[in-house]
Amino acid sequence: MGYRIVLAMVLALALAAGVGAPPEGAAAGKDFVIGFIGDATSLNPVVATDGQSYIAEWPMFDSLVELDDKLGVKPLLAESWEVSRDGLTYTFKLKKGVKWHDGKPFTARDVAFTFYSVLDPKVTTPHRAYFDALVGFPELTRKDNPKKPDELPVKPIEVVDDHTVRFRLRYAYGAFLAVLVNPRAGIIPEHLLRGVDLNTAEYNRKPVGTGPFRFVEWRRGDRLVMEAFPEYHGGRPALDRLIYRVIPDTVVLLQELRAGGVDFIERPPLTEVARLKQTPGLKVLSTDNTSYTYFGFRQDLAPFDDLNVRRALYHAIDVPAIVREVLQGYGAVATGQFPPGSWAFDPSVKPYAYDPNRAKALLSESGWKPGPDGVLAKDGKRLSFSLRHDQADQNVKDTAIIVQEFLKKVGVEARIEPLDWPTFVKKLFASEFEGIVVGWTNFHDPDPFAYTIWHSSQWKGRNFAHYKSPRADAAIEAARRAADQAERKKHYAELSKILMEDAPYVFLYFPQQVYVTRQTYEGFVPIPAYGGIYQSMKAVRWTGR
Amino acid sequence: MIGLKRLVRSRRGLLGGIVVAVMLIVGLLAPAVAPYGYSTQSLLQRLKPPTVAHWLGTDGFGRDILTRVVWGARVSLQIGFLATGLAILVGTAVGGTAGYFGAAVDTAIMRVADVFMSVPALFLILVVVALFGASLLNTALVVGLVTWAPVARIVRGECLSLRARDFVEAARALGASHGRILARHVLVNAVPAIIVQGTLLLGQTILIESGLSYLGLGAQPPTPSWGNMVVEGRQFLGSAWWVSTFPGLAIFVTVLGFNLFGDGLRDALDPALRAGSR
Amino acid sequence: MSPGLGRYIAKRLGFAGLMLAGVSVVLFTLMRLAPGGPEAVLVGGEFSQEVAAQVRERLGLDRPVVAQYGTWALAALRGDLGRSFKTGDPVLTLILDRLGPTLQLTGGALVLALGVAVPLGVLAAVRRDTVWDTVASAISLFGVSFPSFWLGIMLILLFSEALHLLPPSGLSEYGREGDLGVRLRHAAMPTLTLGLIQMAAFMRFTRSSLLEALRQDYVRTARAKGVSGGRVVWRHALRNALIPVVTVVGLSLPTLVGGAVLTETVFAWPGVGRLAVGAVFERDYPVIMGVNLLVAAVVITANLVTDLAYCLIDPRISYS
Repeated sequence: MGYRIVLAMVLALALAAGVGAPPEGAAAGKDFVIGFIGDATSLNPVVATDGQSYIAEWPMFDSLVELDDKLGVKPLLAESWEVSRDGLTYTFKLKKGVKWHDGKPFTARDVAFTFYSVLDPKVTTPHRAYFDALVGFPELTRKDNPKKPDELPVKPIEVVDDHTVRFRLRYAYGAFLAVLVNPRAGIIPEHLLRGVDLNTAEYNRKPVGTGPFRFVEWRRGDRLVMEAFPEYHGGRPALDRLIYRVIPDTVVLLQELRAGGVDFIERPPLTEVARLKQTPGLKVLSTDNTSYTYFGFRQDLAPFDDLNVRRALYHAIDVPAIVREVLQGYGAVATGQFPPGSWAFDPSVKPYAYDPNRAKALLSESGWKPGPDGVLAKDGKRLSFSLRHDQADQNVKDTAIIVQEFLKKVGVEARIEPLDWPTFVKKLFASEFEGIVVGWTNFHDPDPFAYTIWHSSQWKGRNFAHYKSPRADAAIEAARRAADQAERKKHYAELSKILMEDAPYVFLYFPQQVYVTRQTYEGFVPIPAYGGIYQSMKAVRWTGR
Repeated sequence: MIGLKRLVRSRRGLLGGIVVAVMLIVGLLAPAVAPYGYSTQSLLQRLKPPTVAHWLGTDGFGRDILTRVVWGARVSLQIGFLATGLAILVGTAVGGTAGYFGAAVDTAIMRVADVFMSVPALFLILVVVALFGASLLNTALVVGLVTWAPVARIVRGECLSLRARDFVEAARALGASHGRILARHVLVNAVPAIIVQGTLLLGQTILIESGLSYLGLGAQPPTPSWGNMVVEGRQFLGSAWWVSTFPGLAIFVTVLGFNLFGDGLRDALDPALRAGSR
Repeated sequence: MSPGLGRYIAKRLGFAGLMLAGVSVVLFTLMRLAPGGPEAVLVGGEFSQEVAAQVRERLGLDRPVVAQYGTWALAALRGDLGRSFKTGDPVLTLILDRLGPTLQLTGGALVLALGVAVPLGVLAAVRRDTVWDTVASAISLFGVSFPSFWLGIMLILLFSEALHLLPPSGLSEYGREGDLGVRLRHAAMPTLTLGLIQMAAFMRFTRSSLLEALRQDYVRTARAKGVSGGRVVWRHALRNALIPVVTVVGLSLPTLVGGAVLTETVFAWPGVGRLAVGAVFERDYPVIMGVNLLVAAVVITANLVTDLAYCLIDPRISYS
């Protein structure tokens, strides 16, 4: 009796499913569906803070300039620009005839409004610090009683006419053009947002931009739908619709790609990539990134204040094996902070060799002798420390386990302490840790993070590992003030060499970005910055039927 | 010992008992039985299919899966026993108090128990574990503190039915204290039902732990729990099915074993329960 | 309605309100005691102490906890559950948006579980101690012995990857939300996954309840009067046996809703369960509060309704 009912239900299900029907790529054609494991927080580029939000708002907003595939800048809303000889004045000529998605014209006033909003201390934005070089930055951003732009003797952002805008700097800043690119510097409309509280505006959930796609619908945690903006100043995009779906389980996401419910995914499990490459109809794209994964420690704490120990830790870990086996070759052994895709990368800087015997010798030289339990000890203290990491990040989790095991082989004990992200970040910035494994994504220009991570003035900020080197400080400052890229590159190469000598971290590897999509879609431009490929959605086209 | 005979006679209960016993022994003897170290890696040996050297293959770090399944038994059962023990402790204390004193105390306490029965356990566990950090101890504590209500109900029920019985009255007349009466007479009679409930709860806890692992909140690596092995292995399903299949089977067999054993125990320990309510 | 029943309902409602208040206090305290906080999530990778402090201030997290709770509770009493820290949406809207899919999923699973479990239970009881009994138990035990997320993934591999029968995830397809066929296809696997968890309990309960009923005098009398075996089971025994099953259905709600957390995550089902998971990881306090209170309220109400239904079905039961 029971099985009959089960059978009937199976039949009913099968009927409803249309037995044997091949997956009818529902998304095929000019609707392009991208699957993500998480959802955006805000669709307003000024207040968006996380990677997922950047990727979500990117297609709807244009910035003054955008990145090229060498991480240089090229025109977008700005047709051209002039930089004064002293490097203190940037004058942008804006493209004419650009329209907001609501049909209103885009003007220089929108540009001024956008960046004054970033400077406004009432607005919660992570981007403010990038504009430190602007004239009047300290006065405008003061927490108590900030000045209004009109009260300044010289305005940092001046609307010359409808299509000309001028920025004035306090000091020459080599990275200034680079901080004006998407997704962090999308221009927002003054006519919709003047007088509105940007932190809580309804606009953040229903944005209006000047980008190639315009907003249609956002069902939180499920789907974000955008459609081609016919009057886009760069020409209507080839796709009709851009749909972001949220599918939290990576394995299910992969199934959706195979079944046709999704056309594009990022970060597939790397061991599956070889199989995906052979799947008919699919292709794998990969590009360099600005990320690096490292094993860090507090410089000012024993035993890490000993250079021998730091170098020994470096020699103890077989990074090439990690890159080869775990990353399946989709990555490179890290030699400092600047990845191969960055112009600041210097191929002459060499990584530490995997050499456990050298590691043991270095430790022994510093007085660490094998203890009764196999862990090295000195003066009765064991060479043992906690190793904290973000428990939600699979990549980092795996890396921590591997690091722990390699260290064990040379008699060093790392006790893994996974923490949830909110707690981890708090402890990180409060310097409450011994060892850490972190996957860090750099800004596409070297300066913002090189300065905040390594400069000795930043111990309360991103230099939470408490690194201090007058030589490194000098190199960073010199690179910051130089406007010429070749000259900056020289200083950054110097910084990389100093960092490798001092071994303030064990720089592990630069992971690549890997994407899988259908062969019927073309036009992707893999820019070697975080999520850079999403800049090219306007150029993606369907080549099927 | 009639119960034991009955248990042996019920084939399903026996089967469950054997599975449970085997898993317990494996878990207890893990350090001796496991062929390798549970965290010993060999990146060159990652994702190798079952061979003579590695009976169940190797995982994404080149660790021996058999070793980890064996250690996983220890870890999963540890969580299970800790949580179940706690649930029984709390449930017995609460249910005993309610049932023994009756009246307003009973009503108030049992209403609270009702709430614990009616708030989805996984929701509460999720909130606490996510906020306070995922660790074996935290998981076991929270699971225990959330699942005590059914035990409390059982104990209370036993108390209510025993309270009026002669020997309890007699004990009271002889001047035994409340606590003594509760412990010596009432609770002893509730033990069979508690054991049954505890057995079923053990199986439940293993499932809850695996569910938490799926959300990233189970036992944290490199500690092997069956839950996190299944979850981490599932990304290799396409190319290395063995990584998550074996721990998955271990969960299935063990939980099934606990369920069968619990059912068998129930039938064996209390004939009246056989056809009655749970 | 008898005055006794009225008083009983009033008492239960009062108690429900008290419980909700208690749950809210406990939850609120737990969240404020926890390490970490929403600002780290909201500020993201470009974290700095300064911006974090600013966020805390904006969210009112710099105020004393008691004051924070007071503000929240007062608003909640007016029906305002606040706004999500993450997206700024009203919490109530977020929940209501996702209630539909969750009700569909849990309702479907319940119906499926009953549809399979009750006949299986009857079979097991009528053919007690035969191979049928064993098979029925085996089927029902299968569901409770499997981690549900694992089962879900296996179903996806089978029905989606191998057989190309069903879509792996989601509620529906964009632009085809109204198409019932599409929705059914999407619902099939999640409903089955969630339904299986409940089957064992229902089946066992039906079995034991029916066994008991079959032993009752009136059944024996009916049998003695020559009523056929099938008729006895269906007309007389089952009817009475099903009354306690109603209670079990009520008691199973927490498990169903809890199970939905995992099922919704596996199948990318935009329901309340996933909202809760996301909120917890993102420390979205107002959403955590809202979802948990809502779930508690629904379950408490459902329990009350079951108790009342029980009392209506079986007039012998009275409440005091």
